[in-house]
Amino acid sequence: MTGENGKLGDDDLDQDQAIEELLMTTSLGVGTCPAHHGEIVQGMFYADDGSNVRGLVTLPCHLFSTTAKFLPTPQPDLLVFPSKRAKRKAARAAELTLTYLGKSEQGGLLFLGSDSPEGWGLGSSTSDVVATIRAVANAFHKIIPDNVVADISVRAEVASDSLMFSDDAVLFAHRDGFVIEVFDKALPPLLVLGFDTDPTHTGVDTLLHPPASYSWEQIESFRPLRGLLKRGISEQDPRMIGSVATASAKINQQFLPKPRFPDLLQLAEQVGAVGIQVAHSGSVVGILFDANDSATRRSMARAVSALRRLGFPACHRFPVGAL
Amino acid sequence: MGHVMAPNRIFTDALDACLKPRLVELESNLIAASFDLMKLIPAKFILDQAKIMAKTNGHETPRPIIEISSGLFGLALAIACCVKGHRLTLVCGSDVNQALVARMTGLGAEIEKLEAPSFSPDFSRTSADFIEEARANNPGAFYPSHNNNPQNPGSYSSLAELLLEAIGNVDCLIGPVETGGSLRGTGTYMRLVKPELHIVAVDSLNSVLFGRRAGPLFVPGLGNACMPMNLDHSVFDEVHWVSDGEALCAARTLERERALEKGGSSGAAYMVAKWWAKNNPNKKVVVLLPANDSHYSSPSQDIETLRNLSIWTDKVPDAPVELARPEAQAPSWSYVLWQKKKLSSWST
Repeated sequence: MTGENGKLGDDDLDQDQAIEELLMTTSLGVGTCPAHHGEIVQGMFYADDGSNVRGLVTLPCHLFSTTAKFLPTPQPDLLVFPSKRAKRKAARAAELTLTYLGKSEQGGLLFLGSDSPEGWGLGSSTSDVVATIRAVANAFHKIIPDNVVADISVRAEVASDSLMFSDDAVLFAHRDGFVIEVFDKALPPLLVLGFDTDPTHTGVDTLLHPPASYSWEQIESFRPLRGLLKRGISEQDPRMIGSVATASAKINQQFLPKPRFPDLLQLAEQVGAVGIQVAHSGSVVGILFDANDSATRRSMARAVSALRRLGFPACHRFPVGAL
Repeated sequence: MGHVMAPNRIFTDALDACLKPRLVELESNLIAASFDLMKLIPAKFILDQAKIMAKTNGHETPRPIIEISSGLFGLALAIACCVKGHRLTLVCGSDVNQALVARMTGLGAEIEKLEAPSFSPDFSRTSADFIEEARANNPGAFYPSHNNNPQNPGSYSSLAELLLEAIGNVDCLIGPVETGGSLRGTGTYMRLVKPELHIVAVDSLNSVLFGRRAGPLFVPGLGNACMPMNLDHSVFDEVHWVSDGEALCAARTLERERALEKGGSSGAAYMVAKWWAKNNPNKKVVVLLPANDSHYSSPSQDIETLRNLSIWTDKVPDAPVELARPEAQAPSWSYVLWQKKKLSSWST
């Protein structure tokens, strides 16, 4: 495209045109995505065609988020800040999004920033990926439907959370990139008391961690969880959602056990929480409370002291669901 | 398999179409899960799982199929095999119901009727011998063994899902016990998210399941003459024993009062559930009504037959007699607070 011999030629006119067109049709794109705090449930579920697929319901954490900014350039090169090596999955997502938009001959500058505390296992790669997809789309003044964002996310990172679905709760096939079931509402109003059970705060690499291998008994065990989950969302009942999260956390103890789990179950019951939720491929745990219960404020305070005694001094509180 | 509890749609076959129960509110705190034939659930599940295993091991679907059943699991298996195109041989006791045999034969099943009645020790022995020989002659044959196969209780995940989705807060689950599959399976799955669920078993006075002596079992689907491996006694909070006459009388009441035409095992579960729900008005109760009466030549309506068998009664007690121990003699409806004990812990 450049005039190599220094003469002002057609190529230079092309370049000028390209720059002009770029300036006309693009701008600095911005995209955000909340952090996540593990899952309400994760396991194996029946899809519509009767097959078994891995699926999850993510617990989003709006305390923290990732913001991505994308500035398109006419060259197919992609520069990533802080670095391409640290943000490999986001870089891949930017390329896939450019291809989806029919702009694969273009590149750009991608800036990623998160306000999640470092090493808390909160900022998932999905937050980066989804924020990136939204930023790239935004740079071209486009909005990409959630199901396409989901598909690109899974292709960019193999296994993804369902953070791209911001309205109604979904059961998401996190390795196949499709929605197994859309629930008719968002999660009911919950307050979460979250903490990291990993003292080193190094996090768990989803890809290094092999997916759980479920027996037929375990696969069937997720059916009652799905039944009550559906009822709990439709009735907006925090207790039912808490029971589902606790059951899923118990099953997950066989795959990625959380330390002091029996103590945590007992603690949740003693302080009057509705349940306990875990990151099925991470180290964070959340005690779940009914946001509309007047006793919750005191229950949470008791839980904070009890957690400190168990050796989990640092907690954060955040709301989830329709408030 | 995933279609087990799908909402309104065109079903792929009659098996799929009949899996789902109808949920009927009998009292404000009592809901019946009323099935045409509940045992289609384990029959289909066991065949589906066998197919999965065969696929995993790189083999064809195992066939033919051979099973011991003189009752409704046999019928359910005959329906499943008819739909899926398997050859089926059913080994039955001499007392097998004639209408049931006609139906199973009509569905293409071969019936091996042995000389001993199904509740006798002789039948346990001769049927086991028959199976052993048949399997030796057909190395590819599949033997579901529903009394002992963990996939029998394991199949009821779909029912637990359906009840939790439709009702949500269930406090008590009541149903008849025969093979230890449905009540144990459904209840155990529901307890994953409702650990405090109260489970009430309804057995026959002539059944060995919960520590009584064996006797003739007239009502299909209620009680057992031998102990199935699938029965986990430590699941149950409460066990009721009902006489054949009471079970059939309650089935007639269910039809007269609620227009639900069910068999005697459903009748027995209904009378226990009605009493339990009345005594626990703040608890939500689900009762399993496992099968229609029409699968059999309908003896529950034939007063003469029942009188000749001395099991006619035209009324049931208002309440059961509470017993301290399971083996205590009681000629009619009685119960024990079982408290999730093992059977052996009652003998000491």
